[in-house]
Amino acid sequence: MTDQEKGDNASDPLLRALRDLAGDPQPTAADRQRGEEALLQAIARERVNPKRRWSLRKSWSLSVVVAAALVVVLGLTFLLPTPTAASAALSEIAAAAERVDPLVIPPQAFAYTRSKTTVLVVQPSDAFGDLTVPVEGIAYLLPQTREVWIGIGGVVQMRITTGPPSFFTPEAEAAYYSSGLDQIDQVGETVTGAVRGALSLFESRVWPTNPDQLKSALRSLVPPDRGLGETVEILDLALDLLRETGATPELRAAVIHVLADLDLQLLERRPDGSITLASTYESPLLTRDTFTLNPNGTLLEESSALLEGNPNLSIPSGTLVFHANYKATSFVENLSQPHQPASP
Amino acid sequence: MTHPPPTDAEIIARSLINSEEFGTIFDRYFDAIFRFAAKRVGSELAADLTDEVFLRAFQLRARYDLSRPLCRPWLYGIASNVVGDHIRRREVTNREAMTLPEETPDPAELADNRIDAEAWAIVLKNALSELRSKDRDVLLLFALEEMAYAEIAETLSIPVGTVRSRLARARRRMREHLPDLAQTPFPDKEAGSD
Repeated sequence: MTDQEKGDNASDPLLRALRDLAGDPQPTAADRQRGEEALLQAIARERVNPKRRWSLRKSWSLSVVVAAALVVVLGLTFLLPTPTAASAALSEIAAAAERVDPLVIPPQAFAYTRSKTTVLVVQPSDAFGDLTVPVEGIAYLLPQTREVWIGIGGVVQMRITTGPPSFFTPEAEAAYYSSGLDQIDQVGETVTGAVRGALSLFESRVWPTNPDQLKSALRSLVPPDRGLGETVEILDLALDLLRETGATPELRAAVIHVLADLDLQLLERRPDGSITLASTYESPLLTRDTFTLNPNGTLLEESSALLEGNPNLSIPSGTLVFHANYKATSFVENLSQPHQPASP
Repeated sequence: MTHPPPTDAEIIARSLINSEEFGTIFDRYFDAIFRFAAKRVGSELAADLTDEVFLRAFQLRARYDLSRPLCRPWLYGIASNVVGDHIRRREVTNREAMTLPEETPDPAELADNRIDAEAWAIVLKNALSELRSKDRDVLLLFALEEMAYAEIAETLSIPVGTVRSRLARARRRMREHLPDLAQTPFPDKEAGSD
């Protein structure tokens, strides 16, 4: 408020009378708590990372459980080498990652990265108003392309393009569009935003490059009582760091050493030296996370697959509920490049 | 080394990746938005409307202009819409129920201090209810939230000139309803256009 506006406001008896009339109402603790609960419910509905937010009740049939368990046992018995093979492969890659030249962003330029993701979203039945939908809600897969511009000081711009979702039943698709959820998900839209400051776990602190210290730091961030097990929790956080373009070679190597110490399975080693590893856990549905590293320790791809389906949401077993692939970092001269938003 | 606290825009940007971050926006502005609503519709209804404001803000956060470090005007803009919708619904209901307005005391008597504060409040409320809703919004943001013209303009997505003209008109109409305030030298030169 300018001095003139302030003086005008203070000296005017009409405005003083209005302020007296309005008084100074304050919320009670109960008002605040209720507001917090309403917001938390909305946050819980927004499922971005299925690994962290997948929390459906376990209510599928015994036959599905038995069939899925057989798939896993057979897979582990005949297809998967031992965790030792994973550790050895990761140790080799960690050594190579440490020797990679650090990313140097030229002056007056930006590093540009692009990733494509598909995530499973479960909308509860109350999101559909008066429409009749299954009591568990409906599930769908939502594709997004995320583009990030990074300057010398960190991330400066993000652009998110959301594509049309895919559904497991025609009824779910009809309910989704009838209730306008496509507008809330911003389907078909591209949102560009300027960004300043820390955006992610990686940027929130200085990370140790000693693998033991790094593992302790990550372990301290594991939320209690989720029952997912340490391997998947540490893997989740470690991939958050590995995903970052700005991670130094030393940190990248330390993260991969931490991964080498986890109970992971080596699924594939390709001729180009890239490797794909996996971790299987219950969340509460039996789930398998996989990720692929190139020989220099760059994260190329990651995914989560449900090894058992959920009939209540019509999700078949084997569904990929999360998938992301990452384009190699390039440099651009300004924030309007590339000119066209990527299609998801 | 201590880092400055993150701006609202930074928190909203982070919440696009980690939605729980939006709780910080709630912590920062819940009380202010509650007071904004309570001054207009009373404390009892304010809690519900405040919840609605934050739910809408959470759903709309991807469209927030991240070049604006403070989100206060954006939240007040949403709050204005939520409270305005509520008031419009209530007015329709009142009309349908044939609710009679509160009996207005004679303002001349107010000047002689012959009636109490309660009657004075009725006079003010009725005078406010006679204003166009757009004028009333500007007047209340200026008087109760003590916002600058520029911030009101940002909140309501209107030009600053329109803020000035609506405020001047609101004050002039209020003065017409409140003759004891008529001698106050309100700066009601109308500027801009609407």
